[in-house]
Amino acid sequence: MGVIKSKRWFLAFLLPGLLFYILAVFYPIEESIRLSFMSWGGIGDKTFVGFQNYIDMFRDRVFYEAFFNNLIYLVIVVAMQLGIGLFFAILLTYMTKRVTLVKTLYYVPCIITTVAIAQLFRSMYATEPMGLLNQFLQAVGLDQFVTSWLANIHTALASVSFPEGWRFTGMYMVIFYAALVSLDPSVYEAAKVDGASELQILFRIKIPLIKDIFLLTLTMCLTGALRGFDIPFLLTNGGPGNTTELLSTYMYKKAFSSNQYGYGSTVAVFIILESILVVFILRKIFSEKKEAKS
Amino acid sequence: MKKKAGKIIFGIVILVFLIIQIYPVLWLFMASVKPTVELSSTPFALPKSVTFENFIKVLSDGMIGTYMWNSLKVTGVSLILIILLSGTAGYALSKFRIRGKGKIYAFFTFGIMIPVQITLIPLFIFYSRMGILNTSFSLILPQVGFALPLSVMMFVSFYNFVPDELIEAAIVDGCNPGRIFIRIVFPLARNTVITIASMYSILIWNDFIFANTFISENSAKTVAMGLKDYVGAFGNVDWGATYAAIAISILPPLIIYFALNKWVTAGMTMGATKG
Amino acid sequence: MKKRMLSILLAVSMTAALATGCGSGGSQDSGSDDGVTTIKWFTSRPVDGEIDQTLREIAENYSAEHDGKVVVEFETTADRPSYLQKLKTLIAGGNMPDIIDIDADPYCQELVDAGMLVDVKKFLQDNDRYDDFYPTALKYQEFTDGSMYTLPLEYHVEMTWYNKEIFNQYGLTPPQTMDEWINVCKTLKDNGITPISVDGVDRWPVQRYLAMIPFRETGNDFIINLRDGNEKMSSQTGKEAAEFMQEIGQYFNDGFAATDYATAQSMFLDGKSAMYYIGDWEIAAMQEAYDAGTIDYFYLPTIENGKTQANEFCVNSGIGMAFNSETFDDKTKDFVLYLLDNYGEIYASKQQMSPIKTELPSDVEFSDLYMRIQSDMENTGENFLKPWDTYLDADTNTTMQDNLLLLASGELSVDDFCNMIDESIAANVK
Repeated sequence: MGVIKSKRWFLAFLLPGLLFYILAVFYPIEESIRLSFMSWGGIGDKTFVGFQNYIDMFRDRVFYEAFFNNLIYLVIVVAMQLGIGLFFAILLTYMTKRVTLVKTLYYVPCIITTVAIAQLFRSMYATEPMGLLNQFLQAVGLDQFVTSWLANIHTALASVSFPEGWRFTGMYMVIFYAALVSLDPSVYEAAKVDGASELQILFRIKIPLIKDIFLLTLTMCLTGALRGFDIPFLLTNGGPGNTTELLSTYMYKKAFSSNQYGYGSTVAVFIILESILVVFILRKIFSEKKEAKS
Repeated sequence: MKKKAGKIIFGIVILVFLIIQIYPVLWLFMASVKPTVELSSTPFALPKSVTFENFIKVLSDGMIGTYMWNSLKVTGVSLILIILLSGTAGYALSKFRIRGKGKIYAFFTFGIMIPVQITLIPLFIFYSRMGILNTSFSLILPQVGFALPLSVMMFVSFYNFVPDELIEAAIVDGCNPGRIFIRIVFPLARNTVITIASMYSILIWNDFIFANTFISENSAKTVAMGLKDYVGAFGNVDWGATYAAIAISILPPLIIYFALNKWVTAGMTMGATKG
Repeated sequence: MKKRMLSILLAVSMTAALATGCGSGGSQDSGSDDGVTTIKWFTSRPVDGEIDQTLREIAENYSAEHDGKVVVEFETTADRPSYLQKLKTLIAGGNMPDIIDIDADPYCQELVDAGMLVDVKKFLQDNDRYDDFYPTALKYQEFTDGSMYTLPLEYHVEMTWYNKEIFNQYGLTPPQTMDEWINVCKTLKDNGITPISVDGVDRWPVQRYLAMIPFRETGNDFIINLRDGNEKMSSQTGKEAAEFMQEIGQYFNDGFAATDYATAQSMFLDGKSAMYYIGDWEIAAMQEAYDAGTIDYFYLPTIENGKTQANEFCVNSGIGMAFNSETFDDKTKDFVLYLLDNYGEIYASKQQMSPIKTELPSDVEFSDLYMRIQSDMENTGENFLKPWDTYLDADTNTTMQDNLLLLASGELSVDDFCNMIDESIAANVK
């Protein structure tokens, strides 16, 4: 790829973006790594403590809790965004009228600020006054499930994950829909003639064809979920106890509430490594499949 | 008969999901015209009496206008920078034959994996030293920086579809690489530009973390932060006023979204399917 | 059509770009290029609340009296957690404002140890203003060693408000002792009434309940010793505190952990709960029901052989203001003295309890409720319950507040809770 060979022009086009990127993204990373080897309370001098923060982290009960919470959060968010998003994208491809209208409206939640979403869901989950979810449960006779969703330690984590999933489902749906309708009809018309059912066409032909989109959306969605922050932070701030603590809220709490900037940075470094690992594995899986196919 | 039943179920499923997706937005607007007392006692019922008191309260102190202007500044400047920087960098990474550019591209895409929260402490200290806290720039820097990986990726994948022959022909005609970019390549990328602009305008407008950390002066606050103005000393929140402020603050993105909707979708198709 | 929309959008953002030139700039230096001194006050008072109004009024008057040569610039972040986070980052970045709001907590102690704050006790004494304040209001601001670096701008008592109609219906009277209180709650709950509504979202209201028994048994000694590592949460007093928390927690409204301030308060005012713990700063909200005779209040009940008396309970003078020792020059001093001399009257005229003694302005009519609470405040005893969050280090406080919600709802055992606190204190004590 590429035909122009002028180095000077290459640098002229590349450098502004590259420098900006380094300053905004890599300078903070470098600083975080440096801080993760320090102990610093915000006042006075930083002291070098070697790997002490890392040792503390791997002995920290709350850290593990946050880690596992984060995994559950991730599963819920990804399942909703990709699962429901794909499901409705497929449904939409069979719709004949008002597709654009429906699609437009489905997308609306991503436009709303998280401050609003947090309060909205707090009201919905509440028992006092009875929130919408509980009113609904009562109306359909499931009174035994009525609970204060955010205060109940068994439901709190799922309840803070749901709004994040809900928010972006529409966006992923739009992406999937766009990919599905852009497929060349001739590819599956032939299969139809051969007597393949709609479901077969869907799973055998259409979905494998948009595999690259899966890699892209899965990357966006997974890294998005790994750094999930706003909604749990605003809804429960990690509570009750640490039942909804995620790695990022824990990092924030340690740095900004407990003034342990060094320790907070250590958790930050962990989040970076974890995200890199996930994306690396994803790429590996997808590229292996590609090779196996070709 | 069976087909008809299927159609009805299909319609119902679509409709139920539609309600789940947009009811909250309607609720927000409804909540903003409710008296505060009703909000905490019967939040989901239709308002018994409609009041514009909340709006008057929010608009009369005049700050919301300032906040919206600040958000607009940050969003506007960030978008321009994102598009300029990623449009040019993407061009360099796609249309030049230079050794090592693959590595630079990988370096860019690496940024997709970095969680934004890690920048808060280092950038704050940096801004503080430079004396640029409470400026729009303090928000623009991380917004643009963290948008670059994905937008560079999208530009590169679009440019890769622009045939190299086109550029070779232009070179033969005596165009230099700068002119080629301005006259040929960049204009072609219109849909990519719109995809990126629509996506990031929403994300940046709604940003809460950066503004919450880097802005403290009232005159520099953005909308998402302004929504927290109605919090009292011990945590008492004036929700009526907050909802009115929310309703006002989400109008601009909603308008832009509905006005540019077809562009957004068209852009998504181009940007995403070719990623 | 759509093309036009897009070009308009682009034009708008272009204009925005030109107008900003990336950043609003300016206002960084409190320097004096044109002879104007700027005093920067980083504050955490509710926007347009009574304190905010009073301060701005005074600052404007002062500025006018000095021909605009002195300008006080307020930066307000009402939301306390974000305020504190911002303050800490500002200070960490070496940009401490001239005046800040801060509690006399361990973080403040660190600032003092680093020589960054002005000794206000000395300042008041040097300028003969020490006796202008109510002694308790000042005492609240003191560190355990008696030194003082923060000045109060408010003055509050906290009490439990109760619904008289509900109490009458079940033949209940305001409890005198903690045991009676529990019995009252039990009777109410047995009759299907929610005894107490609690704001668990903000956490501090729950923490008050944990502090009650230790305060009655030891005054503030328990928490001071606990902080210093000389006492354990798993000691007898500590366990009693946690057990009380768990016992009274049964009588909180369902889902209190996710109930916010406004909801808890309106539950009480709508008669959906019988009791609600809050301070006099909510007089305005309580006024109507109080006048109608449907609600009343009682202070913290006592225990047998307790160390503190019935007229000793939670009194606070709120977050204090502190001064940056590096920029505390004569001009700032002059402004602060002006503030102290004018604050009491203006603030009291807004129906607020002033920490600075003042004649009540005769042109303002004060309600019975206001007068009654004011006289309560003048008759408080020597001891007062100081909220625990001002004592504990930030890390332990976070752990305590997070896990209190579980303790109160019975999902965490007393022993586990106490051990968790002890571990955290052991890790943080210096």
